[in-house]
Amino acid sequence: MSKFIYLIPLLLIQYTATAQNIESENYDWDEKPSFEVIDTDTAETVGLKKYIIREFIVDETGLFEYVVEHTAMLLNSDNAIERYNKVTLPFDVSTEVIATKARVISPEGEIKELDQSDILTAEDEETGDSYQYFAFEGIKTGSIVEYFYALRTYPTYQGTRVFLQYTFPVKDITFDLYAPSYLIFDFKSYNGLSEVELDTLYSENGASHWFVHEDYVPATPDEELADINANRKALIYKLDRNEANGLKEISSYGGFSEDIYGFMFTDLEKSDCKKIAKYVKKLNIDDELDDAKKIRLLEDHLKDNIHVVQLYDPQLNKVDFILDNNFTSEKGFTRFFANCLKELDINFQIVLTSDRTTLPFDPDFEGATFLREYLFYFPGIKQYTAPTYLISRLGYPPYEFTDNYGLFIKEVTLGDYQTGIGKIKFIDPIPYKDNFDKLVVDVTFDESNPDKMHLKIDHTVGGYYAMNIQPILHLLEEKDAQELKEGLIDFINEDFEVENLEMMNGEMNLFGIEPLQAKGEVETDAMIEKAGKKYLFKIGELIGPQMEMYQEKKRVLPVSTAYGHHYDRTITFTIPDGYSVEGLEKLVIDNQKSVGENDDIDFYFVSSYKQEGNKVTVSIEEYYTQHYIDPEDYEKYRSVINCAADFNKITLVLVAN
Amino acid sequence: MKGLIVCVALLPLSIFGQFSEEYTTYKAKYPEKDMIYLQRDLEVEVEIEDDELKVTSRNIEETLLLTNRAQFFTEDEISYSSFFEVDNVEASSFQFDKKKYRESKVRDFAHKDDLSGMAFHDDQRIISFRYSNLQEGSKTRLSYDEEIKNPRFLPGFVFGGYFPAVKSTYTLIVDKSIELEFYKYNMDGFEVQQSKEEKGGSIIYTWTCTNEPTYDIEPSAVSGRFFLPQIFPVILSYPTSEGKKKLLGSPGDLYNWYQELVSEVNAAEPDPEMIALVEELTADKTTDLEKVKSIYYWAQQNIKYVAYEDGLGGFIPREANDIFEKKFGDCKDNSSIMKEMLKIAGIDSHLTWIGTRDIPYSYSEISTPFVDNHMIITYIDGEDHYFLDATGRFLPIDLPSGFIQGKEAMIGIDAENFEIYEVPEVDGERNAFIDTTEMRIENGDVVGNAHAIIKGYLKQEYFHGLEQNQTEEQKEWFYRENFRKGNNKFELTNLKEINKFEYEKDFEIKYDFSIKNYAIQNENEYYINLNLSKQISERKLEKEDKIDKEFDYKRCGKYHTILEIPEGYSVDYLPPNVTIDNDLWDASIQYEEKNGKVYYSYEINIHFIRLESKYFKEFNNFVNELESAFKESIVLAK
Repeated sequence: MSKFIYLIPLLLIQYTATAQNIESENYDWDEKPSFEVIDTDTAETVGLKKYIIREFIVDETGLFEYVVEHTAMLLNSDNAIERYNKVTLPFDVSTEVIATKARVISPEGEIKELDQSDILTAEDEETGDSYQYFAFEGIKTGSIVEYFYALRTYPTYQGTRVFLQYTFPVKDITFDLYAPSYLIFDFKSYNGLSEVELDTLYSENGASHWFVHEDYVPATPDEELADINANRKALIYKLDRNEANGLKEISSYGGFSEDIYGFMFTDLEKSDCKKIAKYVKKLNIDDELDDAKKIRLLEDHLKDNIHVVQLYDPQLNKVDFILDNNFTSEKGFTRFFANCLKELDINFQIVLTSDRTTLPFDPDFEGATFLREYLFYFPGIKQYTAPTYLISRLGYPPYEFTDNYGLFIKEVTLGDYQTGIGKIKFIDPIPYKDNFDKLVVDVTFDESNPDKMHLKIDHTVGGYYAMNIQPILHLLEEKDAQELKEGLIDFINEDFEVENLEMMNGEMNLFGIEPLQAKGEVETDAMIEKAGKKYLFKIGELIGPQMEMYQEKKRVLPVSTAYGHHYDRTITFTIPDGYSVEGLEKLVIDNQKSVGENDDIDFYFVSSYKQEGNKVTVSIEEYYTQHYIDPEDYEKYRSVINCAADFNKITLVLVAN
Repeated sequence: MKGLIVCVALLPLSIFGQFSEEYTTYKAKYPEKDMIYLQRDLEVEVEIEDDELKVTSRNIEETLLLTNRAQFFTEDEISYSSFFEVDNVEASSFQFDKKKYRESKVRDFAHKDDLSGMAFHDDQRIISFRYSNLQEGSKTRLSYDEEIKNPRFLPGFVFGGYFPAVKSTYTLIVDKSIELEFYKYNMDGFEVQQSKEEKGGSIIYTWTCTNEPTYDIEPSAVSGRFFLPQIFPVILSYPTSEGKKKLLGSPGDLYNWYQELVSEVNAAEPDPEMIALVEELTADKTTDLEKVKSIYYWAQQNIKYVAYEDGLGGFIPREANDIFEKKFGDCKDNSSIMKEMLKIAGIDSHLTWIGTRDIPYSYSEISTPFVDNHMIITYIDGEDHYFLDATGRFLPIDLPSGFIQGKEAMIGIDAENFEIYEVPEVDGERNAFIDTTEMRIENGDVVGNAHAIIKGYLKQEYFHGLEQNQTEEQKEWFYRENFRKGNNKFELTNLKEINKFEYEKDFEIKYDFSIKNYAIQNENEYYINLNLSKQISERKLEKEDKIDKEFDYKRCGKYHTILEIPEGYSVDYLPPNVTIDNDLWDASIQYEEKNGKVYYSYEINIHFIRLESKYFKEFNNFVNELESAFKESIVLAK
């Protein structure tokens, strides 16, 4: 999300007349490619080479980074050809492309290099970003496509992640990093990638060389409900120290914390603060209210009234600009929001974290790459909010940012001077019980003939289940809002025609305070089928469609399911006069599984029934305390999930007496 | 004033409490709309300069924002290309404050290449900008000039859209020596003020509408072009110093221009390797049709779809030799290489211009480039016309691509002559899904084996899906989802694929399956619902839908299921047979007991591609009737 660009500390640069030999500058491929294709290379796409160079160079103008990426792929199917026959390379405004080359090697070994004039360019005047794009020429099944590009660009050295695993297997993967030998880099490998090593034999004009190489990296597992990117083999590199000037911990969070605090607060002009104060005053937020109420009022107002655009133009961050135009960038919005909070005297900390489903925050390796998403943390009420996520509100930051570490930046005062100090802390996920779904269905059969029934449905949702609705309902067009409301009833069966629809607590300011409740009535024959003179009451369908998880080959990645959650459902019906009901015993299901160290139940599905006279009450409780399920617990999870799918198929038989 | 204070106190968050009269009026009139156009004007001027036509236009749009969603209109953009150049862009927003509107001019307009288009490379660009301070009650105004580089693309006007317009005006100012014709579409009964006046050397035509139709977004609906009122002026001729020059008017005039564009294509000698390939592809083929097939299927398989549509490149096919070397191209390029390869094989074939089904116009109604957007090759064998479109894969020669069914094809016979021929709509039987299942009951589970035959466009769809799902796990998922019987307890094993990725043969699959607990056991009885496929339910239409719908192709499904009666059981009840028949659809469900088995058969035919709204209710009744029948289980008793 946010791009942090920091000026390179002047001290860092130590240009010496003995220029470093630039490995990337004249990078080229072998004129005669020598890729080895063997009989077992049968995957649709086989990576034959992935070579990535990051090279840091200090010249008389400063520090620069060279980037080379060289790729060769064997394409064994039409689908693979169609997926990889076109390449688009995005470059940011600071990038100078030194070389881009592309060629196709036919199965017969014939080489066809793309003419430079066929490498097209596009530009975005607004961001300064540019693109190169091209299509490989003359590919047939079994061809190898090969391309590389070399760039000179503004350096990013305070923590960058490089993926070294792809959706196809790769037979030869190398990552090289070169830097002047007084710049010491630190590395960490993830998900089983070998550790990066210093090349002790390398001695080129005072430069160091680090590398990692793998002879074979399999394709990323293709599994449903998995956080693929979080589990790909990757490394993070960062500049740790400059031995020429003794500067240490260059990529540590100490500096970031100060910089971010500075951007948020100390960079503002006094006049800006006055304007914000005036703005906040106009909102008439009662001083007597507690913090949570104040935050909610402010958050609702800002998110409703200031439009956030996806653009990184510093002009948009300015307070004047925001007040004049009513739109801003994500960073500008965050800063404006933060200063309004300050104006309201609310104690809070700025938190920077990552999306755990693509990059879990590593508390043991500091680097800018983890500082992607802003949260505000309110220690007084121990709650978070995500400033730039329109539908997120106090107490419910996007779940991806929770169950994850984050950098918490706390304000400290040193004499007259205020700054931020950062600390890595854990962001707890929302407890499963808070994400609840309560359904009460009351069934009345048609008096004359039980082939129709009348349903009274009462559905209440809380936590993340309500977040897609409560905060935005008032922003929807009438028709869409109606559809969303009906969805709370007709999720059971989309053909339902809902009558007497009522919604309680639909207001934005009730999100996180009161659960969202919908009541409606439906006349339907959808759950009744016939077998001769008997009626089949498909009672299980009243809980709505349920996912079935199938027997897979051995699960590799953890199952990732967003957040823990809880269902509580009650179905009541009266056996119609003149009929008896058979099959009630099928309604009894009990499956409780525990994972992890203690014996607490983590996956729970228990259904039962009670018959009093003609009245039958069915209770179904289901919950999942965990949102990650280890591969070894997969079968336990699957067995509980499938109980819901089993219940969904339960059919009772109504027999005329 | 007192009242206002009370308001502010009650609504502490509503800082901007005042609204204009205009807002109040239109908010009452259009309570459900986020935005309305106060004015939507297009003024087009056609002049003659140095014997050439010069077409320019001025576009003006004024909007009023009626809801708290106003901020979502902040970002806006205008597209342009080498055919439509844009100049003099001005944009402003207007905020109502202290009883009047205050203007904020947009200052930053950013130009960028548009990479979001369908083509891999084209010359589409975007000017993007943002309005300031939009709130409920704000207004915006956008104006810009356009130069239309080719007079054949003279802009017409469509009255109506998703957002209502209080007033819309289309003005056409034409040099009076220009001969002009108007094509009107859906204009009958549409209220519009029309005027024509002569001024200087020009004639000024004006259409003003104060009650434009609006419509809602509906699933599978045809585009607004099918039902909104439209006017297209067409320039027939204009005077030059060398006499009258014809431009458009008849299909022949359009064809002449197209011929001009393609006349230079493939003038070079064909690449010897391409000649060798044609020889190889046709070596063992005895008839022309077989040769055509061989070349056609080669092109489908080997020329990948990558479109370069830069300027006139959007109209002129590239050289066959070039395509042969690159192995990619768009529809025109595919046509170019097929024509050349067929020529090498000594077979005559024809470049053909055609519009896809989402364009409502026909050549006989209006002969401008707006009618078509696609190019194919026609091969004529006696009375038989074959429409070759190599942009996709797995299309047998006797199937036109699905999206041109029923459309007029402009077939280029030679430099002067062409034929307009209607591509047929393919019969549903040709796209059939035929399933034969044998099954039995084992401990309450239903287990058995099935044989499915898949034809035509459906086969093509399945092949495309299977190309995307080639690993074992992906395949398993694909078949489980697409061949589901009963419910999601369905699992299949021992899958055999027959004729997979074959162009002409039907695709067949055989597999074993189980559906856990599918048979309902109750005391001495089993209840089994033999309606294992109820996909037609997914086609049910929303009650409130009003716009005709488009469904890719005509369909046919046949499901024959044989259930073994378990030992010791006999049939206690078979549901009644059902037959529903009409011109647009038919279906039947039949049950029969024979030799210790129950024979179930369900056949359904959908005979339409486009369904007119007047049939929606009847169609839903049809689905409802089938759904009632689907609710019936057989009863087997001990």
